Amino acid sequence: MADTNLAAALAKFTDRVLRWTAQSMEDLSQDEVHFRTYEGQNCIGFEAWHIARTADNLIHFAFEREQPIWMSRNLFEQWGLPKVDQGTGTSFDEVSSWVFPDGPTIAGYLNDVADVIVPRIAEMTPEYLDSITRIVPQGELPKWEIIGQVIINHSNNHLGQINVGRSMQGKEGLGF
Amino acid sequence: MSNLTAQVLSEFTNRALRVTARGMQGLSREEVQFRIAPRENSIGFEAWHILRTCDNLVHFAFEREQPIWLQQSLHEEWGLPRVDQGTNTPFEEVATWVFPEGDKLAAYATDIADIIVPRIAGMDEEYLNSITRIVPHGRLPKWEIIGHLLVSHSNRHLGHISAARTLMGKQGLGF
Repeated sequence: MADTNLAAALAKFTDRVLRWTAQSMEDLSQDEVHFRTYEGQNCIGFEAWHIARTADNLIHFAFEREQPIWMSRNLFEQWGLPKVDQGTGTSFDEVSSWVFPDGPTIAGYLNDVADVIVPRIAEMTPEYLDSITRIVPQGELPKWEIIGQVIINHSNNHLGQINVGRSMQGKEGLGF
Repeated sequence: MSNLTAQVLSEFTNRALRVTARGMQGLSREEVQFRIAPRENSIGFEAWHILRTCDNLVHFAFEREQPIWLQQSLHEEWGLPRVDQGTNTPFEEVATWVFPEGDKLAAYATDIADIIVPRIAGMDEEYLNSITRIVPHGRLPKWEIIGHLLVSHSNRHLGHISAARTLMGKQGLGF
């Protein structure tokens, strides 16, 4: 399925969604990061953190059993958030007790993840992209599909929700 | 970019369009006009905009063919703009548009997917690398237009639709 040009395309679209998510956080105070579009919905800080943690975890830990940036930089201690949980399938009651840092801090993590994983994706060989990784809850998938579906598509889904949260706070939308 | 890339782009385009169809299926005409907040677009607009964008790019921007929107005279049937696909259209104008019930939007999504997904899968390297000028993005290779606008852009609007469905007490789209 995969080829080297596919790697370049996946890298480009991963870069865009991570940088755009960073941009969506950069001008937000800590209060604004905790905005919810309605009661019972996750705050937009969670949405951005979940995008970053998912991408960081998949490329580092799921693919290579390396420590994600989240751990290698002790962000879980610094931010007082879970060491391993990336928010996938976590109950709303648990997530709603989490406190996120201000927007520029979250944006810094997103940019750091992009700086490391985008060049790595761009250099993935066809054999590597075709190789299978088991992830929860999706199961066994080729890496190209994990990057396309879970990093690119899934992150854009959450970014769409962040955009609504920005607009509702009177902030400039992300322009799509 | 090769035709292997085309297969991946077609697969993710297919998912975005089928999820859009699922997001609309079963919604009444009233539910389709639902807005998360007074200054937000209705979820019917969000879905219609995804569909019009995909239809227009692959048919008209790439090949100067009539999109399904015009082939099926949906602009007349639905009383919506013939050409405008909602990109940068002012909120005040969009807010006056009334969308049909969800099953009709879902059928339009399915019709588009049935035609453009196999077409994308069959695009060769030369075609994917060829340049098309689109507004407001400028001149881009077709693989980038498909990845950025049909896949990523559609998924951002699906995020909005999913949030709105949840707020209406409907099942979210599961991501």
